[in-house]
Amino acid sequence: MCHLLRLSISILLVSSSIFLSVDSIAHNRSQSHSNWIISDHSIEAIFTAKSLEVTRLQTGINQSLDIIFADHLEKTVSIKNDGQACALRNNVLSIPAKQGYMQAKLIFDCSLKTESPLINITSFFDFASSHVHYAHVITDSLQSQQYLFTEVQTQHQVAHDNKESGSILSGINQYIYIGIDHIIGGADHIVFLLALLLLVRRFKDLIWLITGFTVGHSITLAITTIGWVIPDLHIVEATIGFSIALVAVDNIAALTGYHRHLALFSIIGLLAMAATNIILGIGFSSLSMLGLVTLTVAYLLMRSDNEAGIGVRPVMAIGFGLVHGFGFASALTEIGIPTDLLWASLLGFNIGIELGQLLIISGLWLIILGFKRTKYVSHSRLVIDITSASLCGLGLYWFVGRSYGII
Amino acid sequence: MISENKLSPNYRSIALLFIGSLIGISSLFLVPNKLLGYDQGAVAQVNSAVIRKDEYERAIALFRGDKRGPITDADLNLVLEKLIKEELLVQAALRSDSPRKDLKIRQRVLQTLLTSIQTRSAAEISDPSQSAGEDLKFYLNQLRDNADIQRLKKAPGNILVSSEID
Repeated sequence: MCHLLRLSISILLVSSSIFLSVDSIAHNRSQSHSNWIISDHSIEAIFTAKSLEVTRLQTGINQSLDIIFADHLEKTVSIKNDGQACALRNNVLSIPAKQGYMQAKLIFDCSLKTESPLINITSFFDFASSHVHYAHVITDSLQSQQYLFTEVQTQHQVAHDNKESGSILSGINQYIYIGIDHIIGGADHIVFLLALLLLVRRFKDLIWLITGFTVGHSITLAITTIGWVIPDLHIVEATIGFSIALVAVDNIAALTGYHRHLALFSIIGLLAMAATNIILGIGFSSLSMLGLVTLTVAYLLMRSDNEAGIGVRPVMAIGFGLVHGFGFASALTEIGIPTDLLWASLLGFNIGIELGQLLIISGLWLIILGFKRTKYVSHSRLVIDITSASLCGLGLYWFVGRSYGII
Repeated sequence: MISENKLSPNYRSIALLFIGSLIGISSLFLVPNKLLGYDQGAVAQVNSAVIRKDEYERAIALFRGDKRGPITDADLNLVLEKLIKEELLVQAALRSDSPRKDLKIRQRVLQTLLTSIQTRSAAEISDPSQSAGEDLKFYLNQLRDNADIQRLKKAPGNILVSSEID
């Protein structure tokens, strides 16, 4: 076997393994949230976390997850009011939650009137250092405030009602941070942007692509958050994987000109998957699979026609943006948005997503430019080949794995 | 520096794409069973349910009490097989909706849940009589929040009578 092919396969294996290792942070992000109600002398909190998240706490002892969750919260959540610790009333009570989630209620009694209590949350940080906890606090005067807890910021002093921190501006600020955190922590969005950027040669094209993607995800983010549509997150996440694979295949098709051949192989793969779904009664519905087949054919064949293919990518970026927007919205709806801060939260979160996206794209763009200019990589085509192949593998891993609930 | 050779760049691109796809798909086989991953104490999986280790050990202990002599591997298999059969039957019963249709089972299920909530409340709080009711109310409200309830017929005061139905 020639040296080049051997080298390529080695690099491919390495890059695949690197990308596969980031699966833990791709949408399966470690996060939890809580809703707090602060009254005169008592503070009530309801904590919510995914059941999968709670399995991190298992130590092999045969305990049910709700007990583990309640015990963990009892040890890791505390309140101080005016310097004095508030006592936890009774034990933490597990309460019913929607499927796949766990909920628990905590009530703290404070001897002094609660003015601006100090909330301390260290839950999950010992088990997942990247864990993020969102706390939504409502005070007696029905003002709502949001606080973000991370491994380095485990305490927050609840702002006094008269302070400005409960304002719309504060809400926007909090959600900007959440938006940035979501896109930077979501490997699948980063990987998609990388796939999209690989073939971009001019800055103008880059701007069009980003604009298309932004328009797309802003639409679905808004309509999902407002509640006009309720997407099936399972399908959305799998389709995000599919979008990565499709763009990666398109990169190779653009380099080789084998659009028709690759479209044919893609269709065979999708039809095989559709047949499996029908026979075993799992995965996407036949209609959804038909939609993916149509999209693949239309996209790859349209790109094969140079005349029509030139303007396709930014338009397709809008379409892919629509899918990713549903994914972004899931992060926001999962946390729960206060109705009085709906628009502020939406605006802040979208700004955060855009800022994070710009940060990622700038970084990727610089890396790609650097690669193109360095004398050590004279074959930039080889780099695109290997990266596209890795991204295609990763996209398929997410698409198939999420379709069948394997990952 | 990487050197070019005789392999056509187009074929190389396609070959790499197929290798990448193959690695991506085959990596899924390396992912451990999700359900068992959830529950490290599971000894068997029956459809979507798991038989937990503590349950299995309890069954073995009962078996040991009845048997003279040491427990063999065949005995262990027998106990596990019995639990699997039991789980299969329970699943069949649940599929037939027995807990909802059979009044006796329905009452028993209801009573078990209420007792569980009240017992937990009594164990956890100093004033059980008051807070047990509060917890039940809270529990019900949570269930209601997560449920899709639609009143499809007339209000309770206007229940249809047989003459109206006719």
